[in-house]
Amino acid sequence: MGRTPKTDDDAVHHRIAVLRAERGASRKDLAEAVGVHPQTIGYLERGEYSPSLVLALRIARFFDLPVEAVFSLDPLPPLSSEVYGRTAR
Amino acid sequence: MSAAAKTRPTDLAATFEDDRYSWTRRRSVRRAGVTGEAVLVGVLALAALAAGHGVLVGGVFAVVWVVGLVLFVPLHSVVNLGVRGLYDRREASLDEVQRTQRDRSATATHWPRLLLSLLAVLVAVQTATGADGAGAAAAAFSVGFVLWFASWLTSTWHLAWTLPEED
Repeated sequence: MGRTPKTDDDAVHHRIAVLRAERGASRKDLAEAVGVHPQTIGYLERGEYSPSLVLALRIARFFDLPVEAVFSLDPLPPLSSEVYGRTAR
Repeated sequence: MSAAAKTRPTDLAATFEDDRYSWTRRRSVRRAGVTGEAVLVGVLALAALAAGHGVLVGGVFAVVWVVGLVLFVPLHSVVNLGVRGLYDRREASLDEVQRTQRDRSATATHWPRLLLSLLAVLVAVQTATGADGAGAAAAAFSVGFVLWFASWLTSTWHLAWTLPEED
């Protein structure tokens, strides 16, 4: 079972919204694929809820990515800087 | 795929997800519904207490209760739709966030529920012992009933009050 983060240090950072936009998947598409309510995807994207391990793995599988590419304990850098190794000036 | 995704939604669950009732899920509507229910329950309890002590005549007491219970049905429907009926649905139809929200409210209201239940018994016994006649005894029973009923509602009230705004 996941939980509601109490502090910023407690939060799980993620790229769900970015990946969803990139793949053109709606919240409903993702929610149906991973077996949760569409509002739950909203709670996850807004950082109001940290997912359980099983839900995090299902979301990573939906995007066909390793779980560490979608979720992290530290703030995630923009995907563009990861791909091209450049940072914004 | 989780149990929530495998399970075919029941008609009840489908009603709670119906977009025609999305207006009930706004925080302002949920909170207004909770406030309305709390006031209504308070009025019913006060009416029963007043009847038990002979301040209110039996006929007026009966009218207040009938009107109150008739008002309660649509009011509670709004509150329950606003929380997507999380306390009325099967566990298997809820996902992990919904289960967490439901359990959090049940835990947060554990002591108030217990106190209201104890108060229900105490007030009912006190009103009954001070009561004179069958009408007063019925009023004593009503006080106990409405406080017990309030104890049963507190988890739903907490959930409806604290759920974040949907988008």
